[in-house]
Amino acid sequence: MRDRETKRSRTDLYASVLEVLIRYPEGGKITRISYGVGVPIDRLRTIIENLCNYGLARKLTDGEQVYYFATPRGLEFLDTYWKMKGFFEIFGDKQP
Amino acid sequence: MSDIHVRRGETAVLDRVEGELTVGPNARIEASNGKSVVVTGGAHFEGVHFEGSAEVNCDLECTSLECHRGQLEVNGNLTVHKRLRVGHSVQVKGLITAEDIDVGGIIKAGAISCCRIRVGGRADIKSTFEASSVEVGGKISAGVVKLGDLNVGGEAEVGGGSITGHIRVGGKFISKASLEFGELLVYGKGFLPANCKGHRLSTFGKICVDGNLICDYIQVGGTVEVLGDCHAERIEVGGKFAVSGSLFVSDRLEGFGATEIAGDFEGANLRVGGKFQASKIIVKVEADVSGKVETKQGLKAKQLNVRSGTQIDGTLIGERVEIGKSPDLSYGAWGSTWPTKWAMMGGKVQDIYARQVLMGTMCKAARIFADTVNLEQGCTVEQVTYTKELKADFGVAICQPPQKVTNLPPAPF
Repeated sequence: MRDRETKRSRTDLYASVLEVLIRYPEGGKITRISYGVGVPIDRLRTIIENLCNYGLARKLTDGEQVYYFATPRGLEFLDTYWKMKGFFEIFGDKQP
Repeated sequence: MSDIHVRRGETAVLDRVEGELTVGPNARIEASNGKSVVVTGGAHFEGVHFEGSAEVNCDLECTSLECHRGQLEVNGNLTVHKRLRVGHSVQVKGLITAEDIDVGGIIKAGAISCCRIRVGGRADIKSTFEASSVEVGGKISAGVVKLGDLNVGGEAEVGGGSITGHIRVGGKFISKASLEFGELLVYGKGFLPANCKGHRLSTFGKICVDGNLICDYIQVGGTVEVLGDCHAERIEVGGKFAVSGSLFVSDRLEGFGATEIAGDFEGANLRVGGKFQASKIIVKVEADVSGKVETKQGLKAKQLNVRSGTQIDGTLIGERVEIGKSPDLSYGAWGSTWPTKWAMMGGKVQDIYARQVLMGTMCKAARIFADTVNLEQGCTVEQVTYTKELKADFGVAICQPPQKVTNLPPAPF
């Protein structure tokens, strides 16, 4: 059973995916990313497609293998995400 | 024994494997000697290859280990001389010793000793954890640690020890026992116990220290609370910095947020642009203050510059004290414009003990005890006691007649 207190928002999920992606500078495979994020592959595909559309992640096809990378914009998003989370922590607000 | 293949669902009793060990899904490995299985080989040796979930009911030693799918469970110690690579999850009851660990999902272990570890999801280590580089996407929980760099996306909980390199935690960082750290950056929430020692501490969120703290450089972007004394070399406060004991800064404190010290502040240099509270402030070299400074006993500095619009509660003591001569720091670039200068003119202080006192336009003070006193236009002072010289411009109001004396009364501290 998960020990997560609250359900992760879409932004939390985007950040979690990017946190896993930055740990694979050589490119992350979808299965590995799903193990890391704790999200089923079908759901992860939608999330990661969105990240690619927003320019936060990048997809690279090498033959049959598909690898995903975090982009510099993705790193910028992560930095801003954690900073904003920090501010919400101080203000005592819940993340919107 | 040469290469061995344990088929799906089978139980193999092994001792020493001279070659490659391939294990099918849901298979089980047991030791014939009841203790351990050693997989060793020659130049073409590849190590142990698990095809799916498997259980090892003994210690396992090999050169490298790979498990692509499912969960690998080792009910003993796991020693991998080179690389341990697990796609999904691995659970080891004892100690994992490896050079390089790469786990996609979850790793659970009694203890870990490795050079580099990368975990996509979560790492749970019950007792000691030694590594030079740790990368975890989700959450890490460990006992006493001895780490180099620690980079965690979500949460990190350690049982004290030392993390000598860079620590970057996105969410929450907790140390349950005294920690020696290098550079700690927490974006979210952080808890440190008493008697922690570090090189650099910075936060955008909130860090609580449950006792005394020694840290060379503290950078407060969010909130830092120290429930004890704090010793530092340099401090920058952009958010809120609260110390329930005393604060000692060997070089400089720059505060543009709120700094609240229940005890005394002692430092070499002080530059304040926001709110600063302390029982007593002693600055060895220079204090440059603006905004609001509240003290119970007063502020002592060799050179004291109180900027325009500043309000200070408590006695001021120094060799040279300048009030309201330079613009308020909190106005930034606007400080040089005339409307702003007009809006922030003056300053309000209480008693001043100094050799030289210079008061700018429209400033207010209670009593001044100094060798030389220079009061500019529109100043209001209750009482002036001096030994050498008093200069007062047009429109200066001194409530009681100024007194020239041979000796000044001693400063309170």
